[in-house]
Amino acid sequence: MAKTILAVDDSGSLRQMVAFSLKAAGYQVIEAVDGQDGLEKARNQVVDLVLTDQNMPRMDGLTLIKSLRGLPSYQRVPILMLTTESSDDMKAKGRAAGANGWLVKPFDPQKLTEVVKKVIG
Amino acid sequence: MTIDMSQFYQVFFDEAEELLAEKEKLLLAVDVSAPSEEDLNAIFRTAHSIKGGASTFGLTDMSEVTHILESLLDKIRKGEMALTAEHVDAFLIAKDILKMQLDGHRLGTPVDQDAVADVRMLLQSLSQDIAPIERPAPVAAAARLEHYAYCYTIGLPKLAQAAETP
Repeated sequence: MAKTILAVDDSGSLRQMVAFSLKAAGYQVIEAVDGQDGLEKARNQVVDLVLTDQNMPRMDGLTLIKSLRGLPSYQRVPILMLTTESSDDMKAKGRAAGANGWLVKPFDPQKLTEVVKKVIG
Repeated sequence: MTIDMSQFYQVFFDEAEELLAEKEKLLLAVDVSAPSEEDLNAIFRTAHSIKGGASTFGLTDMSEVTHILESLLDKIRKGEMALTAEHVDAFLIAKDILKMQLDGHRLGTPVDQDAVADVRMLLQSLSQDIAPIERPAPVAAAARLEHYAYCYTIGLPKLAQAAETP
């Protein structure tokens, strides 16, 4: 059965690109428009990987990650941040919140797929 | 597998258009004397989102302007710099420049590169909290074309003479 990825980004064009790339690689993708939407969808269905942007309305990426790590079913699910922010300070905050990795935008869709494959197979 | 990014351009163009309209609405409504954290974050996000998309889809001209804009907005929303009416005016000018760049990509309409350079300098000077360098008012596009036409008029007679000379 195909693994499922939750892609959280307030940019429709980027969400579409991520979803297209990962579906082409054989994954199922659930899209969420912001952190709040992402948390609701994550609660409805436990996924194999979460990809999240940082700067989003209603709930940002760090808050989403902290909320997910508070759910028993998301203690071990890998979470990657996909964002333009790449400062050491932000990376440290991401790690502290519970993120497992970081991909800096702009990213190559091929590279994204390779990273996802390494993380969840 | 190579992915054709151009299939996502139209979505990004629509998205950027909406973000620019939202940015303008927020800027016109913001209370400069006491801007809320929510308003500043929302204004920041419009620039941030456009920058992210422009970078991802290779629209370097737009990502360069939004990068400077985003940096300045980040300083303001973090309280490192107070929002002023001058900032709001500059952000509205930047919004017009980004719209022009967006239309350039989307519709092939001309982009005034002098105006783009001016707004970049303006945002950079505001970011460093220094007075913008006074530049001469940009020559209107029609006047510039007349100047170039005059240059070509001077050039052509010489070429004609050279052709006639054995």
